[in-house]
Amino acid sequence: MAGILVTVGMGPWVFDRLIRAVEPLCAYHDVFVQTGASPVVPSCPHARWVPLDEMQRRLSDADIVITHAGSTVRLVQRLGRVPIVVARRRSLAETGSDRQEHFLRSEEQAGRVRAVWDASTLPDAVASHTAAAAGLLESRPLPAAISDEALTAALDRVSRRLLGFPGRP
Amino acid sequence: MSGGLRVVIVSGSGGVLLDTLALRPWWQRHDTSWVAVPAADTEIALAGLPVTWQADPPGWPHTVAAVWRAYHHLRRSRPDLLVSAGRRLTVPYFLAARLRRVPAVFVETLTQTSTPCGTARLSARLARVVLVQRPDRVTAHRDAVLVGELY
Repeated sequence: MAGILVTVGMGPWVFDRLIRAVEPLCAYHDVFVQTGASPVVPSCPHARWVPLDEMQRRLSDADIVITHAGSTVRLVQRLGRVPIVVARRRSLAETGSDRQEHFLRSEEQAGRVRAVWDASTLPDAVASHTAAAAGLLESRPLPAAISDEALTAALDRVSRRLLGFPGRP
Repeated sequence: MSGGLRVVIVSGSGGVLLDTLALRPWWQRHDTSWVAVPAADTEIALAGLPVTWQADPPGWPHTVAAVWRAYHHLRRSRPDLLVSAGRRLTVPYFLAARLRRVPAVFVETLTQTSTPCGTARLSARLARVVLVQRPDRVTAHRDAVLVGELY
């Protein structure tokens, strides 16, 4: 039995397809589902909205994270994990753009994700995740995030250029 | 630049919030206030900070009224810079910033790997500078600055 966190993000779009797809996992694993705007109610513990600090704790505690293809992907990767990712589809009215599909394709080619394009295969992806994730962690590097110092310097340069002065006296 | 700027950050929940919070090493050195969409994550993450809570405009027909509100907010707060990572609320604020000649900086999300549409595209066009997190996004905007991955 694995501790599984499922998150669909904080946006206004429903993602019923993913919530329905995790339903079979509820009987075999310790699953918590953040359901967001979706009206679908899973049989496992769930909450519509989860504050950021609680979400970060849940991400750290989970054995496996199943997420939409949003910013959570990087949060999970920064924890040294490999998320299972299902992209929202514009064609299914799950989002307003193709951004998630494009992002997931990009990550699938070079990043530390397990992309699931057919949600009905989610239980299989969970069953094989430990071995698959180990291979991805070994073979695919994660780009470094910018340091605080470099970020501050970059934004200071932008500010100076836009404002033409070094700061309010 | 060791502080002294008045900065207004417009933010929503989810990835937009993460992007704007990731700029903390910079904005905490300035006189920063927020305009944020109320949500479970924004209300907790921004607790204790100066925040004006404002809902997203319910649709494009409401944008004019939203620009009017944003204009008056910027007139009161008199920021040197306006920063946002995108949200429907960003558009009226960036339009108001144009009217008040306040430079706006748009932070493009890491998940943007191709041509943006809708709100993100409009926000990027209204911004003076777009901060991008991917090298291949530099050429996608008129004036882009590569900062790298924020988190």
